Amino acid sequence: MTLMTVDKVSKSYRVGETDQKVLSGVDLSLQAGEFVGLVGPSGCGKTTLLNICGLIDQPDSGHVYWHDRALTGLSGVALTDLRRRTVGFVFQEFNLIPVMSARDNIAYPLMLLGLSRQEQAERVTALANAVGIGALLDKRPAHLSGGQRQRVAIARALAKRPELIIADEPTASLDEETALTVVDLLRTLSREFNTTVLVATHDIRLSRWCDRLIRLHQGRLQSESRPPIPVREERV
Amino acid sequence: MKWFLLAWSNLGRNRRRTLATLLLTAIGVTGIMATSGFALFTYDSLREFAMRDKGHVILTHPAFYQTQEDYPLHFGLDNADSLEQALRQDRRVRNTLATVEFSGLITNGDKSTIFVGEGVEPELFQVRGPSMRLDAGRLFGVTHSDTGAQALIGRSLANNLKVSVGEGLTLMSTTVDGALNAIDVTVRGIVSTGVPELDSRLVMTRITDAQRLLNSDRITRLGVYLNDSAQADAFYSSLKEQYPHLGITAWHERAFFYTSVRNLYNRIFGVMGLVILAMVGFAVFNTASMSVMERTREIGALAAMGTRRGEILRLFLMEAGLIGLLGSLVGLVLSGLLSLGLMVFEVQMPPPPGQTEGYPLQVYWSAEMALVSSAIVVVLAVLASGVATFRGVRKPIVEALNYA
Repeated sequence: MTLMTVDKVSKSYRVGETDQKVLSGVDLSLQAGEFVGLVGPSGCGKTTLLNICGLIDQPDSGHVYWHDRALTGLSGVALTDLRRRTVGFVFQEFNLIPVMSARDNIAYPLMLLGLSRQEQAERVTALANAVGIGALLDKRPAHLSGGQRQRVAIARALAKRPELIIADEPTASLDEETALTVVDLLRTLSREFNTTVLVATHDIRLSRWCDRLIRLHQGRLQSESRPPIPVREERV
Repeated sequence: MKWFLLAWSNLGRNRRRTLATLLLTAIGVTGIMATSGFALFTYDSLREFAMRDKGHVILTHPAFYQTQEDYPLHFGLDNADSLEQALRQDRRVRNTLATVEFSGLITNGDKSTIFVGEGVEPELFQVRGPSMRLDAGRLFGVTHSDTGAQALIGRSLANNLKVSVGEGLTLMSTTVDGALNAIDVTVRGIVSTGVPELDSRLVMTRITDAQRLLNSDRITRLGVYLNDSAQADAFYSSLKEQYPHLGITAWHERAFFYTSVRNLYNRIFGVMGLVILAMVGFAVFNTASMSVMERTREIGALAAMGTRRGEILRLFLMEAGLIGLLGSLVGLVLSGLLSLGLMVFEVQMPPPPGQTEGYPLQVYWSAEMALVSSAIVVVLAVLASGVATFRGVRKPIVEALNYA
């Protein structure tokens, strides 16, 4: 089942006096439950494509379909509500709320959805145990390691059982071992919850977890492949 | 509740800044409460003084306050005794006091000067309370056992005429018929009102002696004193209906000093209040601006997760509202302590312009004023925060997430 379709999407940013094209006629379709990797060199448009897929940015041209429903022209409030219900985010810098405990950070999207306290607590506990931070729920982000923070972020992204998770360089701030653990965790949980994951990364080693790997180059879709891809040690 | 707790937690992000803003707000509220409390104390004192001076309601000839008299007691009241008796039947009335105003020359035989006189009933001193200081001698007693006319005179007038208690003076004035008349009086007491100009002219006699000097049984005015000042307006209205042929004047219509001080203070303290509020507003604006700037990425993350802009804005407004509320509470406590402190430790104010007597400083703590000032400060804090955060909250999510 197709979750999202990106059809001939282009996007430019104004840099000084000139428009810089970041995406140029990109087509992409995401299937339900898929784990899709987005790779490419810096500045190739990965983050822009993620933002558009995550419904936090709008393309200049082209269309984005959500379950075959065109999102073009949808109001900001409608997009916010759609994100609130269906899209989870895992950021490179975690972006946890520093004044909240890990428990409250994970529960935050559930609060937005208006779930009861009991339901929130059940989901938070289950997810925290699943990501291995069950004992750290009362700690604030400042008292957690990078890997632990990213686990909290993953639990937060999964808490509302979204249809799509957008992960932008989720391992960039982590050491190699933690990075692999975190991606493994994300992969496992996305399978368990049948959540589509679109993950942008520089690290080609992460491709072994992907159902599909999309390579962007200069704003265009360069290739699309299915693993196993030979794991290379160098970064692209 | 979660939003409230989040807003509360956010206040602890930068404790020093929050504390500084909170303290400034508290000082602002203390300032507003202190100035308004001083103004309220002043209004209350002057209102009380004005009411005690001439009564809650003043009865005169209808033309008395409109037209200049051609001769003494031209527009005086006849049959004051029967009017007084009728008024004293009313349960709301505590007392009535008749007064005769007159003026003329006062002499010790060698030296003469002009005086401003008041013929009063002895109860006046009980009703008015401590409106003047007795420097020497005695005030008029309620029981009139003394023989001969007596007078209380102002301190400066006594100095001018070089007289002391027990010595004689002569009062000269024109009668209602236009003839010159004089009576001898003995100085019964020397008083100070605190107003030098008045002390150099003031002569008070018993009303009967004043009427004898003016050769009339009329009075200038009849002051009605009530048990409860709050009933003054209602009583005034009922008297207007009851005595349409008389001049009925409410106390505040003749309380020129009270009115002018009130108008002046309202302006001065109003401007001060605005300055204080502007300071509080700028402090909260600055804090909110800094907070939004520091939390731009977080705002982006919250928005990405599906938090509506209105909800994010509400969070910042709650934080500002909490600062305003907490600052107000601290300010109210501080102002309460100030008010109590001034009751315990007397601070003497210098004499006001044109007066010789200072007075103890007091600052009223008004619950109504506390409510109003707190509400204004909270609303102001929320508005200032709204202005500061509106743009930050509207920043595109991608831009906010990439904010360095």
